[in-house]
Amino acid sequence: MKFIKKREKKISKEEFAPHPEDALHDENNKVTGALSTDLDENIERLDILFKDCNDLVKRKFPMGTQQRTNMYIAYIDLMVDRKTIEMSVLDQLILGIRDVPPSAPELKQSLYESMRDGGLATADIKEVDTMDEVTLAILSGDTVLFMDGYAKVIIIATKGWPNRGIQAPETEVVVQGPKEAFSESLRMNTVLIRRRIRDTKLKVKQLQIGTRSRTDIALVYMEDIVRPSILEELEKRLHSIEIDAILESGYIQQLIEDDWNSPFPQIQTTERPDKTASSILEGRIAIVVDNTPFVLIAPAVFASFFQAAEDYYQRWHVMSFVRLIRYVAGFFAAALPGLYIALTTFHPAMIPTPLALAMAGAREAVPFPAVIEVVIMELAFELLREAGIRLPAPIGSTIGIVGGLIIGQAAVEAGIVSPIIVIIVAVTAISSFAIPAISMTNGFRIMKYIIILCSAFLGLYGFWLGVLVLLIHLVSLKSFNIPYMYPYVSCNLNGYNDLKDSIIRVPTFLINKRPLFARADQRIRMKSSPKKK
Amino acid sequence: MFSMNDKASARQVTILLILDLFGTAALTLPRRAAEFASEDAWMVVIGGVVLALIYGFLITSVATLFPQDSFVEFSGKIVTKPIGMALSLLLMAKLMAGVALEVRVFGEILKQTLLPKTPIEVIIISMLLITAYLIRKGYECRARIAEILVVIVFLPLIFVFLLALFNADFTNLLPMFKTPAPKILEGAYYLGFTFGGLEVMLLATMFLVKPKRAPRVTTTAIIVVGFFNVAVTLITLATFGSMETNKQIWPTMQMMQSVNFPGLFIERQDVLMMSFWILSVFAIVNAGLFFISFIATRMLKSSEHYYLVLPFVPILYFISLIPDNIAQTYEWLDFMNRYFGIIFLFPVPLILLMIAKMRKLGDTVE
Repeated sequence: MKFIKKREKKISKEEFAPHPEDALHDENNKVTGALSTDLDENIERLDILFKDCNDLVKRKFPMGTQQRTNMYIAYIDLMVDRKTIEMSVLDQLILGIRDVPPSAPELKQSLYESMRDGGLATADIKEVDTMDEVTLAILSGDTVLFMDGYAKVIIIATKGWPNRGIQAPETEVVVQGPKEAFSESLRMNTVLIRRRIRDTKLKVKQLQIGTRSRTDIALVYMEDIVRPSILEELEKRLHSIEIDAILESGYIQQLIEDDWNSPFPQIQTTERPDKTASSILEGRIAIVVDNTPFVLIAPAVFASFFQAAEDYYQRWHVMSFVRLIRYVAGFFAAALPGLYIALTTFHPAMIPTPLALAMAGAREAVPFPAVIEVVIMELAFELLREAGIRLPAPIGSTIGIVGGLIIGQAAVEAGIVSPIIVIIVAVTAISSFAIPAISMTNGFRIMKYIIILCSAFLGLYGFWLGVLVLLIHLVSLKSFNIPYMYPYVSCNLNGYNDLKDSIIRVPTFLINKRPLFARADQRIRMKSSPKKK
Repeated sequence: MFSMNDKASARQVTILLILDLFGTAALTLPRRAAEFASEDAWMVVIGGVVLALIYGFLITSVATLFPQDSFVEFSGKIVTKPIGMALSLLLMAKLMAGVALEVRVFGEILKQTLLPKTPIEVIIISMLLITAYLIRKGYECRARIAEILVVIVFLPLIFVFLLALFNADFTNLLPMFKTPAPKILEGAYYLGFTFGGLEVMLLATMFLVKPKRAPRVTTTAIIVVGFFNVAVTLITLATFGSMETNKQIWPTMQMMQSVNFPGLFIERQDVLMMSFWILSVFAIVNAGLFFISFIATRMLKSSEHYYLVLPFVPILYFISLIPDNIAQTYEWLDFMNRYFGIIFLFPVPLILLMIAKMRKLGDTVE
């Protein structure tokens, strides 16, 4: 024991040895201190802070022809747009300034101001006076400009790191509709939204979360449509997050969700700007997180996850039909295997006789009870799905063929499973992919096993108990105080209007009201159309 | 707008009440009505509905006098604390007996039709437990799940009834108006007890966002359920005639069994209908258990609602297993209805209403 304690002491001594940088940070990892008027002191502090950060580019240079005043520029390599720095900053300050007569009186009196106002050929500059802001600017891809004798730093917006640009969406593909998706840059994503809503009331409120990652997060919403209480609640939840890093919007989603213990998502994710814009116009709030193409939309109810962007672009007949099919698919994804077990093992009388005989014939050689059979095949499918996701595309299809076709066929021929089970599992799987939102699919995927278990114990009664558990759980959920099963519950709240866009999608000219997410006095969406005065 | 304050809209309470009133009683209703008035059975059912409307009016008149209170409090205010307490205890006991017997009947029916090899204990305890699970989520969740269940329960029922019309032979209803009036009234009196669930409005009025709406809520629920009851009776009678209806324990189920689905994909659709019955019984047991624990929390003045749900689960479980068999269960249910059924439907609300009016208590004074 003693020995261990000694060792611990030794380690802790090493680990907690003060860092030279520590003096410059407070306990929240924020850089402390104001700037000094002495350029060399500032440079020294910057050097301590950026010790061993070899990606930092810095240069001290004398300004103008007389070269009496020194300036200092710093930025992270490749995070900046070098052209801007060289053309509109360095060129101006090193070469352009030589054209100014050195005796110009304004230069002598207010060197800094004239440099700021006349020396930089770029619109996006900012003045700061704390070291924290300076380091943050450097780390976010901006360029900082120090000047000897002034305790202020000019930040020039030069963000311009390479990214993959705007590409087609991968998870929410449409036949008709825009084919651009969000990407990893926050600004690009907000631009994609802004381009769709040219209204000053579209607010882009930015904040940073993560003491180390300092991730930019933007709340995008319509100021006059959003419900103030929801916005306030969302901001409260966001501000109470204290974490070292936010690497993806999933972190935020799981941290601010109402019920962490539910398999069902209470915040929507999307990579489609058109879907985001339409949600914002419904009075919902988009949370754009830097470094991920997945934008969060809150609040979200159960029905939101069954809506796809395309539902509104195509004719209403077929889209209503597709909506219905999606709900049936949702039911199948959660309940079909359970229902199969309940019917075959407990109530074969309910199945029409010829079908029952066919099924019994197919199951004859199978040594396992139906439950084991179903669970084996379901798990095999999960395995296949998991293996398929991470494989490179060319091998992925091989897995599909080998795993799905060959093994399935062989398992049936070897008499391990009956062909009906293969059909059931396949239909369940296809159904689960018919739901537009993967996160919702995952909820059903978990519930499926609970319903299988209940049905295996108590037949059809157990099946209904399982479905009841599912329903009770769903109705008890809320997303930012909106009942999760809305508009299937409390549908009278918005004058039954939200049922128009639920299990079916009525013709576009009839959807003239905004849903419950919007403020009560901003519910009119469409004032007139050729069909309706 | 959606704060967790245990309030529900008029629409939600109406739906809860509909689910509560329409239940296992409808399984036996045609037989019991036919026992009193053979071909005129439907008149008995209508008489029952009219009586129910009167009960509903009395109950809600008394309850709306005290929009913030439940029966436990306002009975104490009207007829002194001890008597109020006694009345509340009696109501609780009656609800407990009702739920226990209901769950027993449900278990027996289920065992007969769906799960012949499963011990009835498992069926009963699982039903009680899942009910308790919902109650722990609060009144609002009950209201919301009712809105979903009502669709799942009633849509297939309406569908089956429509199909059953093909089998019905309405000459079976003739001759009409043969039964003497006293006989019909007697039948109506007993069938009025199928609306025994109205008692819960003594407690549920305070859950309404606008308690003044309680009379309308109750009336709507009674009329909807009454319509279904009359439809069931008419169709069953028309299908079998009064003699055959009389002989069957569950004529409604026989009626459903006789239905031929076009295309006949599903055989034995009565089994399918049973599964919807499970949901409707769930709603009824749920209402009972909820208000039992609600009375208990109110009497103990416990601040936290619904903690007391779990202790009642084993108690109800044991009560439900006391009767030896289904015949005895029905006997007990009948006994309870005959002698205690009326208490909280008519005399208690009437007396409370009169005393409250005389003592000028409640909201009438202003």
